[in-house]
Amino acid sequence: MHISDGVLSAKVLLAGAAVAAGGTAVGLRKIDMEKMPRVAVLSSAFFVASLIHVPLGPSSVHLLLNGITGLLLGWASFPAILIGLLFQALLFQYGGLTVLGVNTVNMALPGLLVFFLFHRIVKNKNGAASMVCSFLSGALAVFLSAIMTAFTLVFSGDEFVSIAKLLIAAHLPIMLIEGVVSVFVISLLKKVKPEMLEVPYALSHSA
Amino acid sequence: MPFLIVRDGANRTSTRILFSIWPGIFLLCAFLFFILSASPVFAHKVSIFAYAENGTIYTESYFPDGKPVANGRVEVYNSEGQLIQEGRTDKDGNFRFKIPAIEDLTIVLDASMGHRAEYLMKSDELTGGKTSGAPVGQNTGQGEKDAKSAGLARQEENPRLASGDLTAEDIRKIVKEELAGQIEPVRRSVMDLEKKEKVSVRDIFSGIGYILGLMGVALLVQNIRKKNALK
Repeated sequence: MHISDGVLSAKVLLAGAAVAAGGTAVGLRKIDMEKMPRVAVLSSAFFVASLIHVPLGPSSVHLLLNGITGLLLGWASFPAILIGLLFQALLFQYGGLTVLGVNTVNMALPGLLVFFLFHRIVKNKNGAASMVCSFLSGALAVFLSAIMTAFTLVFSGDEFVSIAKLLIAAHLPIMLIEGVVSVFVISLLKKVKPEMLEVPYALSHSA
Repeated sequence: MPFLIVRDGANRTSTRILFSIWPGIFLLCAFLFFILSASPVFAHKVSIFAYAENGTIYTESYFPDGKPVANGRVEVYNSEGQLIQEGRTDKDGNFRFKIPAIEDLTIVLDASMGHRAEYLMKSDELTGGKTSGAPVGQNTGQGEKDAKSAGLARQEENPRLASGDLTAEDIRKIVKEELAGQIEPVRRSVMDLEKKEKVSVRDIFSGIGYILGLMGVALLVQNIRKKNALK
């Protein structure tokens, strides 16, 4: 899902960088001292998750974890994912530095959307409703990232429907896995550390 | 109410941080275990390698786990950036074409879904591929001049008579051909090494280290700000 250097035109790169910078600025203002370690740990998890490779399909697909990152961090997932992608680019040669902005938007925006859609239900409800929403957070974020990546690639000449089909098909197993991972992580957190799900600052602690 | 929360947080920040971080660390360890115990560690990129032999350029395209890129688009650009050749890789990730021109060529692999790799083929790598064309003819011409200036007699009917009959250019050519043959296995093994370039455990831990370091810097900055605000 990482787009490499040299695929996109300058216009798309600039637009991506601008949106990513905006999201990161908002995200950074939402982080206070208590939230900082959580952001760092989820950023590390995002950074590492991309190495978990699922040997299905013709291409190479890996976990994204942008759903769970979004669900637990809200706006702060922008800086978390930006940092994660930066080190993936530097250390693993995934994606690249010029496409950092575009890739950040493609991963973080679905996470943010998932946060606004499901966070309240996941936090407040118990049992089936919470589990279903956790699953949807994980799966939907990957799905939306695939759609957004396809949309970005359209500007470099790929035909939308075919590339979107390809990306979504390749990421179907990832969507399932991330949904299940989200269910486990959320139910574990609810039992062990329910405060992790309280993300009041993302909504009320605005600067 | 928000004021109270902030005061409370300021008093017990360090212990809270310590507590709030544990589930995350557990998660991270779980992932690390997952990765280290899983089969090889994969990167998410593609690579293309190329070499010239007998007037043909051979290219091989791989995912980092060594799987070939099947049906990937290969484009060849000349030094002015014009597209001069294109094609698709076969199921083994190979694509070959006749050397189109002796100049620096950029060979681009587009494996779809945003995956892309480049290989720069220098013009001297191409001449090493033994093209029988203009450059060689030119060299012979020069060799003749060399031979004359050295005052050597040329016996074209029987070139193997003595070592003195070989011009400097002939020797150079023979050595070059021999070397190309000798170097080929080395070149192959270097290519194999590059193919095996995978994400190392060191990279993983250094990335995590950097992220935690950044967190430390950010916390420091916030702490200083908070102290200044209290003053």
